[in-house]
Parts: sequence; structure tokens; C-alpha cells
Amino acid sequence: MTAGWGLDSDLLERVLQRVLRRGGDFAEVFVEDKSSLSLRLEEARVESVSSGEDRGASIRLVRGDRTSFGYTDSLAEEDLLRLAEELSAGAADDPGGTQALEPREALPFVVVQTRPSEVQTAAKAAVLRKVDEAARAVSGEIRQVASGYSEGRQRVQIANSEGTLAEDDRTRVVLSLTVVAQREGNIQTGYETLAQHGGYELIENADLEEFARKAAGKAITMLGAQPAPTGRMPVVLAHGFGGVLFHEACGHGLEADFIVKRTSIWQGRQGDRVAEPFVTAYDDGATPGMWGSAAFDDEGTPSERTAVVEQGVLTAYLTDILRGRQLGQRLTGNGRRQSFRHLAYPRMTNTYFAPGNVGAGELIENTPRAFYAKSLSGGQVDPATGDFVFGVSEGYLIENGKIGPAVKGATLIGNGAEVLSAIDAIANDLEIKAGMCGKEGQSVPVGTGQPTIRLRELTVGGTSV
Amino acid sequence: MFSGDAGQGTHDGHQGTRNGSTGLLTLGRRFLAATPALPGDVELYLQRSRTTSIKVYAREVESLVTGAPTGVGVRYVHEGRQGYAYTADLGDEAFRRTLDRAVANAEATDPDPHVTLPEPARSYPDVPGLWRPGVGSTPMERKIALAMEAEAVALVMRRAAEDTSTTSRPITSLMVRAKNG
Repeated sequence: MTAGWGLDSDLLERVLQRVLRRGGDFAEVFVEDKSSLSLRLEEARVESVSSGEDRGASIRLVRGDRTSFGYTDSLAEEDLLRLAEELSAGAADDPGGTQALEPREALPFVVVQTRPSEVQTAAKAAVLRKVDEAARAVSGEIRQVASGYSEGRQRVQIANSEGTLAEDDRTRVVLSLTVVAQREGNIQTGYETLAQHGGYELIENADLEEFARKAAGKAITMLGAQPAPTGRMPVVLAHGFGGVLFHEACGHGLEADFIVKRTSIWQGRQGDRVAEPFVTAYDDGATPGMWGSAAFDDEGTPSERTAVVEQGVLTAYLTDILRGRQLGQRLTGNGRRQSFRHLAYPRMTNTYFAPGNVGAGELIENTPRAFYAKSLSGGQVDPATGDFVFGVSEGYLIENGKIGPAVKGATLIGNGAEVLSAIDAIANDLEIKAGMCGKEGQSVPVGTGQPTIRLRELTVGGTSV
Repeated sequence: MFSGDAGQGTHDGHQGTRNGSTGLLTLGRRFLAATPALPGDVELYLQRSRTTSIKVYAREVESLVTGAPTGVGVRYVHEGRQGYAYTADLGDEAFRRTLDRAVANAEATDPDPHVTLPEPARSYPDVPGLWRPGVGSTPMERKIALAMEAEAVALVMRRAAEDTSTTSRPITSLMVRAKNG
């Protein structure tokens, strides 16, 4: 019981031995203790405050290509051993071995300065009221404001039959704001988030009024927008939210389960040139503070910064233990899961392009004419082909090197591989935004981001007729 | 107020499935008995379930997932303020902690005069077809065979589709899920 909450390593070893008693290639115990609090404000009222606690463990047994997995809300020894016994059933008597557990010590990964649970809930409600008032003060055209605050602490312990024993303690805090503005029949929305893997100091150190003004400003700006143009044209994708395009259209295809099943456009393309030599892209779970970071992934593999594209060449896929071994590739620390009730899958952590040398202002000055996508809203991607359609929630035209009028209703239409090869400039203003990524019915925190980038050409679906 | 309690007397014939096998009504009553006198209303939502998910890929069982999630959610309403809290731990100590959190959470909200708990129902409607005992008693090997059969049919259909189309996907993955089974 190293951290005062998890299971004793002797018990973990007994559970691993029990589940492997009739044979198996790999076994794992995942233990989790999680607490959360969320507040929601709508119509200028804090209308919902909810808290929860979850505690339990799962056991995984891999035998050949078959994975048997079960979970229990109990951490009692008899319940864990019973579950291990159930999972071990059905195998021939050929006991698999387990190695003595060797703790993997995590370096202090994130220093939480203010533990969120030590801050009064009333103070968090006051934060929501403050951003609500600041957003409404921007303009009389603001019609609706909704804000939310969530905090969570997840402690995990992972032991496997190969000797891994890892523990991680993850605290995350997020503040989000949606502002709706209306001018006659025209309704526009602005959205902002503030999030980190860390403590409540994120909120204490933030300029909340500026945060609210940014979200409200987007909605108000778009009220005066013109219809968007249509056709093939250069596109500048602003830093921050623009990174969701790489995540969806390229990143998912780099997850090794899609590679194993040959449903990715990147399958068999390691070593191929996929972008200009100045383009490098990372999946980075190892930088402290980033929303999708952790000391270990959910299989106990240390997190790392993996270059998936290095100087224009496709260099790595994102692996978990199962798919990494199936592909014969090294582990990149991307085995992630929503909770102890879920199997691990290869998942992104924080994805972004490495920053270039020019400022974003200079990049725009050197662009005679382009569509400028400052914020993307939702989109759809076919993971097998990389084909995508994304809505642009805040868009402008760049004319003669200057950001011109706002345009509304634009969509970006293209293909992930096409976007990578079309990047012809990268600025130095890297920014990562927080989001939740859904896959296999599981939701995990991911960071998506980028510096401002320019694409030689992309199809813009406009509204101008 | 305990929502699961309403009209329970009209369903003696279903006790075996509605309470006897899960013990949730008994547990809910115990939690309510342990709840101190509070100025507001308390609602408990208890859940205990079993779930099985079998994923078949390329004529093999890729994964077999079983679990038994449990939990109790508490809603507390006092003078138009409502707070929620839940725990996956059905122990007495965890319940008490969760109740305290729901009460504290309600205090942090702004009142809404329209917020109230529903009145207890006089009779509990009998909705046929919600509970199929056969699902739970179906042997695991039969469930796996069903998933395999379904994949085989899908693969045949894919081959038929490929004869006439070049856009079909080179992959078929199939999942069978069963709740309470």
C-alpha cells in the first residue's frame, strides 16, 4: 500500500497468479480511485452541482488473440480473487508465469499548488457568476451564457504479469464558457475553455474577465460576418483550436489498432515522406500541465513525447501493449482507458505540430489571399480514409496580408493526408486546447493544438451564392 | 422520498426480479433509515447491474468483457436548491459521505422555485418486456456463438456487396452486448 489508498503488492501478485493459473500470455490488474465535482451555470443561475466517487479494479487476461476482461467495484481480496478465478476459466492447464512486481517510480510529475477539493464549492460558483457577468457586459446583444467548472482527481495503480507496478495521481481542472449572441434573426456562438492537468491555481491565476471577453467577442464578431466564399483556396488555420483537424483527420489513423486492422490510410507508410521537411508532429503525453498528460499511460508504460511525423517523414504509430506487440513496435505510452470499467486502447494524449520560426503576424502578412479559420466547431471524419468536413465557427478572409472581414457558415472539406502535404508555413505561436476524445465508447482527456499553419490549398465550402 | 419504493406493494409477484435478486429495495430502506432528519427532500437512485460484451473479429473472439457496476445517486432538494452526489460504493460509510455532499452541493446552487421532487406514484406501472430472464441464463458459449454467426452473415453479405461495388470496407467488426446478462 504505497500511496495509502491502493492495493498491497503481495495481493496484486496473488491476483495475477490466480488469473494465470490455467494459462495465459499476459495479465494485468488496474486499480482506480476517482473523485469529481462539477458545477453548471445557465440563465445566470448556478443550477447544478454534482459530485461523485468511483473506486474499483479490473483484471485483464490475454491468451493468444483473445482478451478476457472483468471489473468489480470492490477492492476486497475475496472479490478480486473470485473475479480472477472466473476469468481464468476455460483455458487448458498451462500456467503462465508472473514476474515479481517492480515499482516504477514516477518523478514528481505535476505539483498541485492548490488542491481543488480544499477550495469551497461556493468559491467555484462565484467564478461561474463572474465569467457570466463579464460575458454579458460585453454587449447588449448577448442572449445566453452557459458556463461550467469541473475538477477530478484520479489515482491509478497498474500491475502486470511482466513485473510492472506503476502508480499515478492525476488532478484535472477545466472551466468552459459558451456565449450566444443575437442580432435580429442572426444567432452566433462563441466558446472558450481553460484547462490543465494540475490544481485550482489555474483558476486563481487566470484573467477571468479576459477569458469571458474572448468567448463573447467571438459571438459578437460573427454577428457581422458576411457569407463565406466557396472553392479551392489557401487556408490559414489559427493556433489552438485548429489542432483538432490534425487530431481527427490524421491522429486517429496513427493509433495502432487501426493499423493492426488495416483500416488506416497510414498503414504500411512508416518511413514515407508525408509532409514538407519543416513539418514535425508530436503526440506528447509527457509535458507536465498539458490536459492529456500523465506520468504513465493506463497500462503503466511511461509517457513520452513521440514524433509521429519527423521532418516530413512518418516515423511512428501510437501503441498500447497489445497492438505494439502485434505490430512488433515499441511502446509509446498511449494505452489509455476511461476508467477501470474499460479496456485500454491506443489513444492520443496531446497532439500538435512543432512550432516554426516566423511569427503568426508575419505568416499572415506574407499571405496575399486566403481563408483564415480561427476556430473550428464540430466535424466529421471517416477514419478509414481521412476524409473530413469541419465547421468553422470563427472565420475571416485574408486580403493583401491583412485579416479582413469575418465570414460565416464556412466548412473545410478535405483529407488528412492532403492536409499534411499541403502545409507550406508554420508559425511559432504553439497553443494547446483541451478536449475530450471519444472512441470505442470511451471518453478520455486529450489536448489538441498547433501553431498557426498555412495550407497551400484546401476546399472551403461557403455560403456565398 | 425514495423513488424506488413507490407502489412496490402491487408487485409482489415480481419481487424475485425487482428486489429479491438485487436487494436494492432493502438497501434503499436501510440508507433512508440511516438518513438524519433534514429540512429538505432526499431521493435515492440505486443501481446494480451485470453486463457482458463480446467482440468478434475475423472469426475469433477479440474481447470478452464482464462487469457488475453498482452505485447509489443522491438528490437533495431544499427550498428550490438541488444538489447531486453519487458513489459506486454501496457501503454505509460511503452513503453517508455521499448524502453529506449532496446536501452541501445544494447549498452552492441558486434557488429555482420550480425545482421539486415528483410525488410518489400510487401504483407502479407494469411495463411488459423490460425484463427478459432468458438473457441472463444464456450460457456464455451460446452468446459467443451468436456473435460468431452474426459476423459470418455480415462477411457473406460483404462479399456479395463487393461483387457489385468497389467502395465497401475491407473490414467487418461485430459486437454483441447484453445488459443484465
